[in-house]
Amino acid sequence: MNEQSPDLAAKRVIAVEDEGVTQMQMRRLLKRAGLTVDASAVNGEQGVEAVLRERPDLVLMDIRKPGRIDGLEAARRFLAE
Amino acid sequence: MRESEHFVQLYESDDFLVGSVSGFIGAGLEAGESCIVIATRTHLEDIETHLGARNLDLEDLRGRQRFVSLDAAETLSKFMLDGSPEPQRFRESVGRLIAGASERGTRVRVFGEMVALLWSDGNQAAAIRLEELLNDLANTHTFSLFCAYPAAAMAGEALAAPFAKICNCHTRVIPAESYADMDSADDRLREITRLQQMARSLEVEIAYRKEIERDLSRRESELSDFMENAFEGLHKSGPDGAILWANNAEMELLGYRPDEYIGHHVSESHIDRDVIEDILAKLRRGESLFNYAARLRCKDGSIKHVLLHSNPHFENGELLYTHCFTRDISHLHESNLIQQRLAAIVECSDDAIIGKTLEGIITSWNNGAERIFGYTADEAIGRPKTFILPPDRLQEEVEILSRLRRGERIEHFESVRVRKDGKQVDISLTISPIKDNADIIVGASTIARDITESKQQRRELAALNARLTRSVTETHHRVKNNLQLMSALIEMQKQPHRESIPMAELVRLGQNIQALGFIHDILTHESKENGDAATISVRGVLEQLIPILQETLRGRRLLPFLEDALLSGKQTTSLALIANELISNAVKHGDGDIGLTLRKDGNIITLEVCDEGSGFPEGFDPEVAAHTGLELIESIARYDLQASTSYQNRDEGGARVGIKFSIERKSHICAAR
Repeated sequence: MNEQSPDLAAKRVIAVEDEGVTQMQMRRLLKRAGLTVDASAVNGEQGVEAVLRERPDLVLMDIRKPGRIDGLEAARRFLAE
Repeated sequence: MRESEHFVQLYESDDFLVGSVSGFIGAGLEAGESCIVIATRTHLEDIETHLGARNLDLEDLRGRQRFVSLDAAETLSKFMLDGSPEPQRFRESVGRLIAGASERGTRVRVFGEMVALLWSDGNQAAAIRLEELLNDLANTHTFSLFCAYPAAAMAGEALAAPFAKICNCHTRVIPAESYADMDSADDRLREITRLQQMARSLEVEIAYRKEIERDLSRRESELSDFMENAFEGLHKSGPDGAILWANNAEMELLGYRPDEYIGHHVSESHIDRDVIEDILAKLRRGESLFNYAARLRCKDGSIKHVLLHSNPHFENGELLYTHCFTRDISHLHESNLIQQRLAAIVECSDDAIIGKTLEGIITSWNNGAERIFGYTADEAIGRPKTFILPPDRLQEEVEILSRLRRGERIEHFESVRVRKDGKQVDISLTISPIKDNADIIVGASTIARDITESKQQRRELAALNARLTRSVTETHHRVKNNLQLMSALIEMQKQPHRESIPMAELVRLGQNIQALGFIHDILTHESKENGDAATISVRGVLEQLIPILQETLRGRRLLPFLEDALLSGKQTTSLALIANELISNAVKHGDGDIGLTLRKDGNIITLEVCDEGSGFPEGFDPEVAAHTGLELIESIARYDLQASTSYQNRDEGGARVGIKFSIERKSHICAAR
């Protein structure tokens, strides 16, 4: 997703990432690709909460996460809603 | 010519003989015959006395050569040669005397006792030979010869044959006076019967004695053979200690020939002077020695360890000789030495070495066992092995014993035993069956090693290993994060429509990377020490960073006021990066001295950077400012520290940026290092 992609343009995305620098880099890349970053979260629990609140088009999340629940568990939870 | 007569008289008493001879010679002299008497000096005197009593003038008769008297021993010496009568000399001496008398024409009577002397001297053969020579003389000359032997000299089975020969040499044999003096024919018959009975009895007795003699001789030879060829050494020594006799075993033991040993002093083969002196002193005192240990030197110089049994023999209080048995125990001595060495090894072992029967009863218990289990050998030996087992492991001994009975060896079996003080001890056991000479299992030896310490070490090693593994994983994770961070910091420099990166940005990038390096260094060092990377002195890190930052201050001062706090690696890294960014911004956008303050209030950490410049413009919004440095600060503060940020202008002028966050739960607050 180097340059703006018509398929992804205007899509709303939530980034779940605990490393501040990586989070920043990811947001920059997503914005450069034309996506709207609606919310960011540092762990699985915050990720589930943000997804359920914002109802984004995309969720960018690691499988392995700090906190009580990992990426797969978080996905399972918000997909179940 | 009349025939010669040669008769023999046996006599019991000298008086009878003297009377008999005096009668025979006296009658001859009275009848005008020539008489020769060759007798012992005593008999001669007595006979002459008797003859004188018959009114015979012996001197006159001697002068007319009618009466000749000679000493028997002296006469014998004239013709005896090498224990035998020499015929020629006989003829020249006695032969000529008798022949001369015979040739003078008168009848001749001779009494001779020389044969009796030879016989009594044990030279029966010479006596017989002399009788034969006299018979030869009787063949050529006529005379009447009277021989007499003491009856007592004829006694003895061995003399039966020579006696018969003596009898055969004579024309007449006259029994001794006890028979010859009997008057009636009936008495003589009775005496003959009695003598016959006595003769039979004696024959029986002789046969019996011969049997005993043979038996004794056989036993003696057996005993002699037994002693000579006994397995054990045996010697006899005199009162002075000289060896009188020694058997083969003793000489073979020491390697001496008989001539090198017998006759030598018993002490010569002893190595220990005090020992042999004690032995001899005891024997002289009449004491017997039993199992007396001594060392003997062999001919080849080797040493024999022996046990001596010796006893002295006294007669009338005087030591006659001693007997000594010498038992070679050198082989026992060597095997004792080997056994002692093995025992010493067992005793000195740090491991417990325990012997037990197949029923599990303890038979031996070394020092190692005393040390490990706390019981002395006296307390342990005789008790069942189970007494040091914890109650929940009793079944273990049953299994061990059944495996031992099958001949199995149990190696490096780890278990637990109970010490005397009640403490449990971890042990490693090696148990082997003990077999006797016939290969039958009679017991077992247990070698138990105290592994409490090594088990503890193993546990510690495992814990250390786990910590190192965690530490390596952690380090790996940090290196990866750092690389990612660096990549992100470089990526940040890429901006639309910008062809190159300003030097100031590269310097800031360099400082950030250096900060990462310091923190990594500290974290790695910490990991080495305690394996936990969550307690880092944030002041320590900032103090290392300050000299680097000062190089970029363009002559302005950096005034640090730093309290200390212990933070995790991640929080420290984040805080250092933020401090670097804030100071770079203050250099770039502010003026005057730059203050760097770190405060800790309970669990709350506050970092402030301020300057003396114009401060933030009116309506400053960090989000809107879209300033690269601020974006990085915001992102790190929010995501890595969950911190709140504040951007204010100071009353005294200049800007102040604050970062406030809680210390992560796992980090501890301690005194600054």
